[in-house]
Amino acid sequence: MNFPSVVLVDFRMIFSRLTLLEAARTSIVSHRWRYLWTFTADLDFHAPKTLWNINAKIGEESYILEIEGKRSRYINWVDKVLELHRGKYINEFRLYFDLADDQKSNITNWIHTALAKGVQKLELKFDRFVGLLWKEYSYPIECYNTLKTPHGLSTIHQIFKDRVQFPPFELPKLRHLIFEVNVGGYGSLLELTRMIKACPFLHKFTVKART
Amino acid sequence: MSTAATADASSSGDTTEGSVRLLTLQSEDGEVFEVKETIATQSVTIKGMVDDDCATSTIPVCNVTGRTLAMVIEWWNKHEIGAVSNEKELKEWESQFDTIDDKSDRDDVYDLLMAANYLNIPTLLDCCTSAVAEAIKGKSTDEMREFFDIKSDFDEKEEDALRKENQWAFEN
Repeated sequence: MNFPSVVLVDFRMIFSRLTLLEAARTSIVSHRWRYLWTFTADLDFHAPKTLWNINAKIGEESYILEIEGKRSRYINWVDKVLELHRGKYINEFRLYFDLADDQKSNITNWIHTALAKGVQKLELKFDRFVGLLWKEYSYPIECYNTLKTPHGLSTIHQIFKDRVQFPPFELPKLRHLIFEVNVGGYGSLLELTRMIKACPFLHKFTVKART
Repeated sequence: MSTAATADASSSGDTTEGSVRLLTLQSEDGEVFEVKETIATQSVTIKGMVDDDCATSTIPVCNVTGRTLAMVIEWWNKHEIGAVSNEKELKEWESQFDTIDDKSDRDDVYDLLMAANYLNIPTLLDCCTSAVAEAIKGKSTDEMREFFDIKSDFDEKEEDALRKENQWAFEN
């Protein structure tokens, strides 16, 4: 019995159940399997081991150079996956890396690609490990109209180190909003109230403290 | 047109009330099964045949053996509304299908997947694709090849190049 041929029948359903990393590992099984992983619907760009390695090397001399190398590789990775992605939809889109406002154009482009494929849950988790003069990523004000997609996002999860960077705008379809904020750095929850007002169908609102 | 529509509506009303119609299904290897129409129409394909009045004689189920068709019917019986008292019991019963421990399990899921695909049974398709996805998780490339009986058609160079291309997946 030839299992692969039947797997191919329903491969879209099978691969949409795997995480990006799990799915991508199947690319070298055989020629037939090579691009099946590009149908996965949950794009979780999480690289736990790489992040751990970066953390472990803080303070070492070559650290800055190394992290810059890893960062540009991360950017290439996301670019490449989005270029290859053949699934019609993206359900969840999660970015988690040492990224900040200097990668703004890349990040904004990725968000737009995800929106165009009807992403329902968007999670942005950025952290800068070293350096003093850097700004957190903020979604460009002039692009806010793009967020009002036909389906509308159902969940946004953004990590804020210091303050909420969203200007006043409306996300009519948003149902779940998650903020993760630094305990020390955060000033007032009042700014979040403004955000809530802009989401009339919000079902769930989560604020997580980050230490 | 309008009279035909009315007749259809009343006849389908009859079957759901009392006298349940039986459908005859024949597997690829000639086994014959009589199944209540209300149960067999969990298959979108069969439902289409019933709706189009094409289910009056024996329905051949190509590519599905009697052994597999018996499993499919068991699936239908369990998933008939009211057959199982609660969701938890149903999930427990389903769990025998959603894990693949060895190659004989794998071949059963393979057969069920073919049947679920041909007969278009969304619940069964869902369960089988999930079983295959679970089987892929956590396996190395060689383990996957061994499990699915795949011989690699990449030469060493190609495989190395691909591994490099998807380096993130293998590093993390």
